[in-house]
Amino acid sequence: MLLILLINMINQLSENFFKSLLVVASGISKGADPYILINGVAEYLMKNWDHYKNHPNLKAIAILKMKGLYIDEIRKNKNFQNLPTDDEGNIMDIPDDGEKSIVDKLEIKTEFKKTLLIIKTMGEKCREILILAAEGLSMQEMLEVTKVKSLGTVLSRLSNCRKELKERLSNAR
Amino acid sequence: MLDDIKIMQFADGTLNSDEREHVKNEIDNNPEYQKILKDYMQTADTLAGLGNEIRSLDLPEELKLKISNFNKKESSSIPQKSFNFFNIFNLKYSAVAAAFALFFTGGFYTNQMIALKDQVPTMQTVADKGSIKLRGSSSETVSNFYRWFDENKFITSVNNKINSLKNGDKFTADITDLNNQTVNFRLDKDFNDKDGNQCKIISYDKKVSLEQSNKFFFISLAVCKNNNIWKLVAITLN
Repeated sequence: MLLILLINMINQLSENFFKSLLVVASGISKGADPYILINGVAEYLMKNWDHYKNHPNLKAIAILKMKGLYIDEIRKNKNFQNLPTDDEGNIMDIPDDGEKSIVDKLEIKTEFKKTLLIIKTMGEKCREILILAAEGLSMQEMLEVTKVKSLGTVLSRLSNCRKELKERLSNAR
Repeated sequence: MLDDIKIMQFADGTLNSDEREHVKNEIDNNPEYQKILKDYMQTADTLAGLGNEIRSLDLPEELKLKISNFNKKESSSIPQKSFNFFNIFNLKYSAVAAAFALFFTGGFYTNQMIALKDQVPTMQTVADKGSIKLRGSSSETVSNFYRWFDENKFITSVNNKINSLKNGDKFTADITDLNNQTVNFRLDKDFNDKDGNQCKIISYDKKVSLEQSNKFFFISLAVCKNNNIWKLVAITLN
């Protein structure tokens, strides 16, 4: 374990790191441009690099920061000043207008655009856990990012959300 | 009686070997579980495909420039002086040194060690893994494995040898363990990815231990053929 901690202390800001963040930004950012979010995170990390360069889980830090930026961004751009939030501060209900044009900005295959749009129509919790799974985060990393109480909750949420995704994908065909 | 979460973990390859056998037996004997398993495997493929697709996008030029400038600035801010062994308070060097000390003096007990001493200066970083999926018993363990795994040697050998191999055949990839014993790989099975590309599962022929924890792992590597080149797409530790 010590070895893992020591090796993990050496972080790097590479293009691939930001491409991983783009996956998460594309899914969690309902109503906000994912490229604006990763730009925002890049600026934040670069500005505070001395503080974060030895952090054992930089990706979790970056994703959490991105969630904050996402809320700021849609509040700023869409004038949603009084959006309802859940206990974790996540915005619960965002109108879907403009969502398709945001997904269309991503130059990905049509089938993946459909999947992404379906995920983005799901509830906040499912949207988050599914996109973290798409990025390939482990259960432990998902626990850190979602800040739920236990790994059991992460597993249960992921299991239920994948069932819902499967159903929605089947209905969409 | 299995709950859906166990079936999902089985589909994702994240169960330990004892549980895996039990769950596999239950699924094999229950068509309802088989249907649930199929659904979870489909969503795993869908999500992995979505992640890979987005990761394949190019970043905006402005951001790329920002990253490049930042990294140049960072590397130039590191003092260019010779390494002082006694400068033990330099966290980065001492962290690496301590890690290697643990690693090479027993931190990693194994009968089949992946790392090579000459890999050390060019150790891969997980941030650079690109679209390769790292799946396994814990993110730390599989990430750690990736850092020490010589992807270039492996994938070069795969491209040179794979056409002459059939499932079940063993081959080497110019990779030796810490005791200089040659590591053997085994071609396990074929599958197609979501885009219809030909893919294969290649496994280490023995269990591998990565830490001084007496934990041994089955390691399998998924490679897929794209534009006539075999590429590593996933690493799974169970």
